[in-house]
Amino acid sequence: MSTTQVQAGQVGANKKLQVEKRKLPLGVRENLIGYLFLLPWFLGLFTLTIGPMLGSLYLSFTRYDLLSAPQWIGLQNFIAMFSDIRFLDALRVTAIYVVLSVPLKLAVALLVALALNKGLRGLGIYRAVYYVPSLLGGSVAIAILWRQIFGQNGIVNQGLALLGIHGLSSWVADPNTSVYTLIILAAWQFGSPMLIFLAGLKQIPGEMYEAAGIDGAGPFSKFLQITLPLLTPIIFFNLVLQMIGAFQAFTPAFIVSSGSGGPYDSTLFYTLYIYQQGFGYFHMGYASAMAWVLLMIIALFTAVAFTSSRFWVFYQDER
Amino acid sequence: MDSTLGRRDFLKISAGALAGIGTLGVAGCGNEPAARNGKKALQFTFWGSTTRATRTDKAVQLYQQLYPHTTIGTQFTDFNSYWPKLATQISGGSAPDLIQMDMRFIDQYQKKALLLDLSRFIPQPISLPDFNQVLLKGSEAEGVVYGIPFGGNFLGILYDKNLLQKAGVEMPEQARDWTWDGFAEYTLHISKALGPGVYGTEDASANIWAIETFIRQRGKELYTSEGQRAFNRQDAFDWFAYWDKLRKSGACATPAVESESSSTIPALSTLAQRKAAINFSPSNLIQATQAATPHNVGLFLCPSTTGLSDNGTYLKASMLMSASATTQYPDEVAKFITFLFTNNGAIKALGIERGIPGSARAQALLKPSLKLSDTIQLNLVHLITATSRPKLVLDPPGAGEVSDLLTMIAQGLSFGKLTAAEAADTFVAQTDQALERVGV
Amino acid sequence: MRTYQVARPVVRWPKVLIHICLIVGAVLMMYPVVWMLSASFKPENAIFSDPGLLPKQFTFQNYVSGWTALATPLGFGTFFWNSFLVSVGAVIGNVISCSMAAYAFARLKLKFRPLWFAIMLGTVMLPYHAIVVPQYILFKSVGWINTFLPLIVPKFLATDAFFIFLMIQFMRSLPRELDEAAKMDGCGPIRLFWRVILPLTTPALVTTAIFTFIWTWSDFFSQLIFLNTLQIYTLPVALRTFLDSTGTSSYGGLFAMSILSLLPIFGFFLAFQRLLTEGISTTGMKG
Repeated sequence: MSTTQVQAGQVGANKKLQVEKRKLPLGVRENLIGYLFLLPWFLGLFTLTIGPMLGSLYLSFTRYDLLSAPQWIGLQNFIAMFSDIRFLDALRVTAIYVVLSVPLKLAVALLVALALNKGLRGLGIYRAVYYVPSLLGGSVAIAILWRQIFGQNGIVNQGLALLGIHGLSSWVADPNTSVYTLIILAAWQFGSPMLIFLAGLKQIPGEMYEAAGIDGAGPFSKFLQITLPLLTPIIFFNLVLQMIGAFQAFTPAFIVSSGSGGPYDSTLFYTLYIYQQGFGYFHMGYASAMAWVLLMIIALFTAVAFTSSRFWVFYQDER
Repeated sequence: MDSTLGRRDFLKISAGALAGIGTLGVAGCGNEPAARNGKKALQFTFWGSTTRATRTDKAVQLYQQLYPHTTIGTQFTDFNSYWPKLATQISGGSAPDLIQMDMRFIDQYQKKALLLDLSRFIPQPISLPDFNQVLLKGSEAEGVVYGIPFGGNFLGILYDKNLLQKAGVEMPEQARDWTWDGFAEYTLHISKALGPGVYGTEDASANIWAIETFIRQRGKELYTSEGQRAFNRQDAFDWFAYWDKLRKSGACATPAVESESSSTIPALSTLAQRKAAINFSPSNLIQATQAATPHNVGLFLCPSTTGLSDNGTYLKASMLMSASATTQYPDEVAKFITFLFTNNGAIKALGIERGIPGSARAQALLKPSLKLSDTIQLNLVHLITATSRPKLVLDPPGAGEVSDLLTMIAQGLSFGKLTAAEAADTFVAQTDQALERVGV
Repeated sequence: MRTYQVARPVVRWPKVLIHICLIVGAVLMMYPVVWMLSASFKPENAIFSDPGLLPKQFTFQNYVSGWTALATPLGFGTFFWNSFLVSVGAVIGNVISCSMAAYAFARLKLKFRPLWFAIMLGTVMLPYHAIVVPQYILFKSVGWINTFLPLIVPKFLATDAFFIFLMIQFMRSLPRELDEAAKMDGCGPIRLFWRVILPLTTPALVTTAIFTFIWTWSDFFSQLIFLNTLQIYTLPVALRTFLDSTGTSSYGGLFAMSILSLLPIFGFFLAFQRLLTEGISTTGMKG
C-alpha cells in the first residue's frame, strides 16, 4: 500500500479512491474491523465462558455431587432454597453488606482520590500506602490480623478504652457486629476504586480548570461543574462493578470466619454459602441454582443502574 | 507513515505474545510422571502440613529405591482445600491412584464406586496380622475394606493438670462421679475456684462428635444405616438444655470466649489459652495442644450418662489409605499400601504423625519415639478397644452439612438468639432437610 | 477594559491539615501490615502471646524455615517464580485483549452492539465457583490440567469483562473530535486505535496491568483447582500449606512468606503507578 498524503484536501479523495479499489464498501469494512477487534473476546466467550455458564445452568436443574453423573430433578433446587434457613440468612447478610459497604467504599475512595489529586508532596508515597490494604487481599494473614484487631483485646477495644469505654467483647466473634467488621474490611481495601478514580481525575484536562479559573470559578464550583460531571463515567463504572463485586464477595467472609460464615451465620455471604453447598457438601446442582438466582438479582440491579445512568452520566463521545 | 507499519507492529506483538503464551504454558508443565517404557506412574494425594509432606516424601523415596520401575508423584494441600480439589479431579476423570481418606467421606465415595476394594488384597499382599481389628472393622463399609487406617483416635477430654490442681479438685480419672450431672458440678466448682475469665470447661455444644457420644450413650447412633436421622427431638433438646444450664451457671466458657478460640487449631483452643480447664478433643491432638501450653495436659474419657460402663466412645480411624477404583495399576497400589504399613523404613519415616499405627509391631517399633502423651493415648486406645461398643454405621454424605448446622444452631443458642426448645426443633428439621437434599 | 474579580473562597483547607488527615489514614492502612511484619520476626510460640508491635525476641528463623519448608529446588523461590510467570502472562493477555474489545465497543461500528455489551456484562455476574467445574472438565479434555495454560490463556481471550468495561468508560471519555481529526489525517481504524486512542487511555491500561498482576498474584481458588504438583504451585496455594487444621501449623513461616510475597506486587505497583500521574492534554495528538 502506498503512503498516504497529508494534504487535507486531497486526502479524502485519495482515501475514497483507495477504498473503491478494494472490494468492500466502507460500512461493511468498518463492521468487519469491529468484529476483528472483538475476535479474541468472541473466542473466549464461546469456548471458556458461555459453555461453562450454560453447563452450570443445566446443573441447576440437577442433583450433582461431582462424583457421578448429574440427575435431572427439575425445579426442586429452586423450591428448596426458600425453605432453607441458611439461604435466607445468606440473602439477608449479603443485602446488608452490599447496601452499606458499596457507598462507604466509594465515598472513601473518591475523597482520598480527590485529596491525592491536589498535587501534594509525597503523592506517590501516599498513593502507595493507601493501596497496601488492597494488596493483602485474600491472604490468609488478613483473617488472623482482623481477628487480632477487632478481638476482645485488640487495638480497636484498646483505643476505645482510652476513650473511657471498657468491657467490650470481640467485634468479630459477636453475631450482632461481625458483619460490620467485614464492611469495615471492605472499606479499608478501597485502593482499587481509588486508583480508578485517580486515573479518571488525571484524564480531565488541566486546561479546563485553568479556563474556569480565569472565568472566576472557585475550587468548590470547579469540583461541581468540571470534576464531577467529567468523572461520572468513572463513578458509574465503580458503582456498578463494586456493587457486583459486593454481591459476589467471598474471600473476606471466607477467611475471617474460617469458612464457616459464623458465628450464627452472621457472616454467611451468598457466595460463601454457594461454596459450602457446592464444594463443602458436594451439592453442586443446588449451588448452581443459587448461583443463577444471584445472577438474576445482580442483573436486575445492574439494569436499574444503567437505566438511571441516562440521567446523570455524561460521556464526552456523545455527538 | 504507513498504516501497514501500525498493523505490522500489531502483528509482531501478537506473534510475540502467542509465542510467549506457549513458552509460559509449557514452562508450567507439572512433572506428572507419564508411563513410558514399562515404567509405572502413580499419583498419591493427601492433606497435611509441610511436616507430613516431608515424611511422606521420605517414604515414597524409599519405595522407589526398592522398586525402581515405579514412580509415585505426590500432591498435597490443606484439609479444607483437599476435598473440593479431589472432587473436581474426579469429576474431570483424573482421580489420583492413591487417596488419603477420612471417615466422614468414605461412605460417599464408596457408594459411588470410586474406591478400590482392598479386601481382595488382604491378607496377600497386604498382610495385617497384628492390626487392631476393631479399628479395621470400624472402617469397613458393608463388610468391605476400602481404606487401611493410618491410626485410630477417639473423642476424649483434654484437661489442664495445673489448673485442676489450683482449683483443688481431683483429676478426672479419680473423680467419683463422672456422669454428665457430676461433670456439671465438677466444672462449676472449678470455675468458681479459678475466678473470672477462666472456666471449668469449654462450651462443647457445637461439637458434633460430642453430641454423637452423648447420643451413643443412649444406645443409638446419629444416623441409621440408610442415612436417615436416628436421634429424636428429645435427645437434641436434652443436649442443648444441658449446655444452656452450664453456660448460665458459669461452669462453661461464655460465647465471647468461645468465639475467640478455635476448635480445630490446638494452639488457639481455650485449653491452650488457659481459659478453660477441660476441652473435648480428638485424642490425637494431645501432642499439639501440649506443645502450645506450658501447663501439663492430660487425656481422659468423656463423661457418660451412667458412669463409665457405656460411655459412648468409639475408636475411629484418624485417616485412611485408600485407592481409586479406576486406577490403572491396582496391584502396584496394593504393593505400595503393603509397603507403607509393613516396611520398617516406611513405618519409621511416617512415624506417628498420621496417628499411632494400628499394627502392634509398628507400635513396638516406634515405641522409643513415643512421648508420655502418646503412651497415655495408646493405653486409652487399648482400653476403648476392649470395652466400647464399636460404631458400625458410616457417616452418610449429608453428615458434613449436619455438623455445620449444629455449629450454627449451638452458636445461636449460646448468643441467646434461640431457646433450647427452638434450637432442638430447628436442628431436627434442618438435619432432615440436609439429609434429604442428598438423596440416593 | 474589563477587570475580573477572582472569587476568593471563604474556607481554605490548609495543606497541613490535609497532610495530617492523610497521615492518620496512612497509619490505619498500614497497621495490619506492620503487625504482620513484626509477627514474622517473632519466634513461633510468641506470635500470639506477645501482642506488642516490637518483638520482645527478634529472630529470622521464620524466614529461614518458611523458605525451606517445602521440598522444592529453589525453596520458596520456586513459588515466586511460578506466580511471576502466571501473573505476567495474565497482564500481557488482559492488556492486549481487553483494550481491543473495549475499542470495538466504544468506537467501532458494530452490529448488535447492545446485545454483545449486555452479554459481556453478564459474564461478570455469575460467581466463579459456579463455572469452575465445567471449566475444569473442559480443560481436562484438552490436557491442560496441571499446566499454567488454564490460568493464562483465558486472559488473552478477554474473559475479564471488568477491564473491558473499565476501558470502555475511559475511551468514551475521549471526545469524538479527536477521532475525526485523525481520520482527516488519513488514519484508518486500526491506526486510530494504535496511535491515538491507546496512548490516551494509558491510565486505564496501567490500571489494568496493576490490577491484573495483583489479582492473579493472590488468586487462590483457580490455582488450587488447576495445579497439582508441588513444583508448579503458585504462592497462594503454597502459603495455604502452612496452615493445616489437622496438624501443626506454622504461623511464623506463614507470616514471613506472606511478607515476602507482598514485596513483588508492591514493587510492581510502585513501578507502574508513576504512569498514572501523567496527565493528558487534548491538544497533543500523536501521529
